[in-house]
Amino acid sequence: MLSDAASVRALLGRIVAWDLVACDGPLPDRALADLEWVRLLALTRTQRAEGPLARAISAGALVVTARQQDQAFAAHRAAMSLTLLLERDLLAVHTELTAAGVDLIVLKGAATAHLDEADPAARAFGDVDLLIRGSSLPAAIRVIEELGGTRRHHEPRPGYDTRFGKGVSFRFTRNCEIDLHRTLAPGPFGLRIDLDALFASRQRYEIGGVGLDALDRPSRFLHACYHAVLGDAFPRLTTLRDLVRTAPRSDHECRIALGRAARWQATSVVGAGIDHAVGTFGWTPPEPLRTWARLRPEAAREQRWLAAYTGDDRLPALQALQGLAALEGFADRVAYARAIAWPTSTGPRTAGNVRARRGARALARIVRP
Amino acid sequence: MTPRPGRSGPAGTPTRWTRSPLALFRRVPDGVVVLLLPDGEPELVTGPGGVLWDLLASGPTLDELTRELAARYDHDAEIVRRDLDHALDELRDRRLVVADR
Repeated sequence: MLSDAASVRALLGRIVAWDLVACDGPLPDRALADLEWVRLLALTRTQRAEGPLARAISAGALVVTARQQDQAFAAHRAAMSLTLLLERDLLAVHTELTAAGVDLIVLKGAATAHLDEADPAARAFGDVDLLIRGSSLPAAIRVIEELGGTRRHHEPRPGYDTRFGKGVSFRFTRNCEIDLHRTLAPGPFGLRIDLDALFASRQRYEIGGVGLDALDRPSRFLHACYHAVLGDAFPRLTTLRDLVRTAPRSDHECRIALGRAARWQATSVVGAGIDHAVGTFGWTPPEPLRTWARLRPEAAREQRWLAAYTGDDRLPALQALQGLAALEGFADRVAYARAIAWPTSTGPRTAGNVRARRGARALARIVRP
Repeated sequence: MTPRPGRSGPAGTPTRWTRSPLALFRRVPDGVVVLLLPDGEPELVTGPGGVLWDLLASGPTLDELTRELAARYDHDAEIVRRDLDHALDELRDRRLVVADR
């Protein structure tokens, strides 16, 4: 009986993981009642889990009525139509950015669908995420705006995007969103990532006969951990699926992934991501990752940072402030502090400006007790 | 109208049929959703067309396709071959498949 949001999410978690190795969790042996099904389908769309739902039904793993099957398959067709439109847009943007001399790496669903799923139809996505070097962001932004994109949030101060920001999001009049990422996470964790190392380690793949670059597998695993733990109040189920699909399978892969996490001060993030996947999917990580997760060291500073990102007490203002501690160099710290405490953007009161103003008020209280 | 390619190339080499690299696609339970670059819209290919799309992954000849589908659906091979001929011509006209001689 799906009596509340938690039980709906728990069932969808088992559906998202039903075909993953080393995950367990029984699926119902009878079709859901109408109201239960409506709740499940709504959450499926929110979580972009149409692929696993349709596949579980096709395989006979999830019992449904004929009407429920029709609705699930229709939702999957719609999701796959959207992914194809987004891939079409991705290729167009890739052509223009490359012509403008902008180096780019494809992130998240548009890459993991092809690299980490046996069938790309298992992974729906709702936008295009690209990693761009900070120095190339101005040129990339011009290209996207010339293609019709409108920035969702203004940068708090000129230069913030290229030096400190997580990225820039663009909306289009058609159903498309493109996110240009400078780094993989907001706040201090994003500021500690070695971006040159990200760009140095890539994996090539193709869409429509065009060669594209993705992060290499260890970095895709780390990105899934960042996104799962730091992205939303509660991890997106498809992101946890990405985490499981990209988890290091050998000693060599583990050394690479965990070595990067240690250098980027993100071992707490990786540990928390693994904990989420274990708790949500009943996942048993492969060795040696499993032993590492059980015995992992807990860095005090990482734990303090992590507290500002997780659960109902997420504090974007505190994340912004903790970024000061993550920066090296006096000049960077001053520029960052000015940007978050005294934003000069005259744009509309967007979410980014709201966050900046909250950060400014919090910083002001520290500076002037 | 694009001229129809022969069903065999130079020196009787059989024509092999492949999906166009410009055709993006996703397999769904009731068929295949396909989008033709650079500016196409998604369209659903159902039924035998979806099965045919799957078989094109290996670049088969018309004879190979005929044998496979005739056996799978327990149909007369000549009828299957005729239907396949029409289907392949239609997919080629829509630029979703390529004839490789």
